[in-house]
Parts: sequence; structure tokens; C-alpha cells
Amino acid sequence: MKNIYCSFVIFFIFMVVFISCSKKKENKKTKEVQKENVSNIVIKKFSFTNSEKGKIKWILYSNEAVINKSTNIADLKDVKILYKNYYTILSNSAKYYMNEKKAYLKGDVEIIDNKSYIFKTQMLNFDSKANKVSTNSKIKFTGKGVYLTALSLTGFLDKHKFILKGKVYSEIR
Amino acid sequence: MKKIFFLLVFILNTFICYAKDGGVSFTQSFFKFSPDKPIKISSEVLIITELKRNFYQFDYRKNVTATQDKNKIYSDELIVYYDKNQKKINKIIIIGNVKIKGENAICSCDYGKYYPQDKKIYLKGHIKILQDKNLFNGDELSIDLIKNIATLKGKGKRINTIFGGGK
Repeated sequence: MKNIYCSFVIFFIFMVVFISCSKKKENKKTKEVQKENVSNIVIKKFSFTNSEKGKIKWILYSNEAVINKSTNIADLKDVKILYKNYYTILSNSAKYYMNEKKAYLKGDVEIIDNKSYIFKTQMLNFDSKANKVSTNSKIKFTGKGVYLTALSLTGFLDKHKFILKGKVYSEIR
Repeated sequence: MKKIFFLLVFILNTFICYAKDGGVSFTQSFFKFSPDKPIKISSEVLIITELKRNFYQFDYRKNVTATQDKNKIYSDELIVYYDKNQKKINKIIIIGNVKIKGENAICSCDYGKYYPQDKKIYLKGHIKILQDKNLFNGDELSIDLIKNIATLKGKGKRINTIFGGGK
């Protein structure tokens, strides 16, 4: 009888410990979820300025930014990047990786060069550290006297150099 | 040696006159690239560089084809220097395996330069021009499209001209 009683007590203690542990785990999980919710910050009329040696290198503007603080990734809407006051990059949306200083732009992307020549595409990678833009989407280039199309683009913004590859077709007037 | 020199001068003069006379001059019927008409260019790679503000270099590479009306240029590389403000091509450089096809003439060479505003063309290296069954060989060719003068030179070589001998 004693044995049965002892084993019952042990089982009871074990159950109490197990339940308390599982509750702690659940609490931890809910706290994490709450943290995640807290870490998403929504900013209207968002802008981010990047400077180099005291000079503004580029400014990123967005109508709405949802910044995930735990990942440091911002989801942007209606994006405009002004690079050295020379190139303007526009897009419908973008994902901006704040640590890497890289942006992946999507939808009606335009690179406007000196307010006249325009590269149009649907996707664009902007690597601000390398001063580089690139895409494997179809490219259209229009402007004063020049029209051209190609299948991919790599651009070095600081060198004012753009490399277009694949079925390059152009008309120069 | 003197005989060769005189023969060379005679052939060169004959050729220049031939070009000047205009009747069958290949400057008229061969190079009809006009600065006022658009040029269509296709290639596999294009490098656009803004050399200075509003002044661009369009460097076409790999299987380049440039077309204007019935004229065609084929080459390994073709570079266009373009003034955006004036909307004008300042210079075109053609490099490697150059072939120029006109209405009734074909030219091949190693290198070429074309100044659309001055209407001047310079071709260099292993020049062969075939027009109306006439074959011209030389090393340097300069064409003034305004004066309608073409001058073909052979660097240390004789200029070969075969009238009616081309295929």
C-alpha cells in the first residue's frame, strides 16, 4: 500500500513539474509574438539619408515604410531614391535591407539620368555600398534622340556607366 | 623603281578621278549614311558611358549590325559618340571585321571612322571594295561626302584595282 502511495506522490510531483514547465514555454512563446508585433514600426512619409565623408550620397524616400526592427528590413511603398542629386530611381515598392544597405525594387522601376534619359524595367537591385544597380528583367531606355531595349542591365552609378546585355537593339536619331 | 612609282601615281590618279567624276563614283552610291536619318544598331552587349555631362559613348560589342535605309555595317565593335543636347552623333568608330554593304557595293576593312557632321569617312587596314564588278584594294581610304572625293592609299604596297574583274 505504501509503495502505491509513494509512486502516486512521485507521479503527482512529476506532473506538477511538467505542467509548470510547459506553461513557462507557452508564456515565452506569447512574449516572443508580442515582441515581434512591437518590433514592426510603420512610418508614413519615410526618408533615409546616407552620407559619405560628410556629403549626402543618396536619400531614400517612401510614402509608407514598415520596418521590422528584429530583422532590420523595411518594406517600402512608392519609393524614390535620389543618388548624388544626379540619378533618380523610382518604383512602386521595395524591400530595403538596412544592415546591408541594399534595396530590391519592384514594379514600374525607372532610373532617370540627369532628368532626361530613362531606364524602365520591372525589377532592380540597388547596392548602395557598391554604387551598383542591376537587373535581369527586360530594359527599355528612352530619351532625347535615343531608344533602346535589352534583356539585362548592370549600372555603376558613380562611374556613369551602364552595361546592357542580351539582344541589344537601339535607334539613334 | 621609278617605273613602279610612276605606275603607282598613275593608278592613284586614275582612281581619284574615277571617284571625282561621279558617274560611277562609289562615294555617291556606296556610302549613303545620312546624319539626319536614324541609325538602327543591334548587338549582344552595349556599354553606355556618360563621358561628360550630356556627352555619351555608346559602345556596342559582339555581332554588331548598324542599319540605315539600305546601308548596313557589320563589325565586332561599334562606338557612337553622341551629344545629347544637340541630338547629334559626333563620331562613329567601327572596329574589327568591318563590312559595309551599300546598294551596289560591298567594302571590308579592319577599322573605320565616320564623322556625320563633317560627312567624312576614314577606313583603314586591308580595304577591299567591290562595286559593279570592280575591285579596289588598299590600306587607307578617306572619303569626303560633301566634295565627293575618295582617296585610296596603299601603305608601302601597290594599289590593286581590277575593273570588271570582281565576282
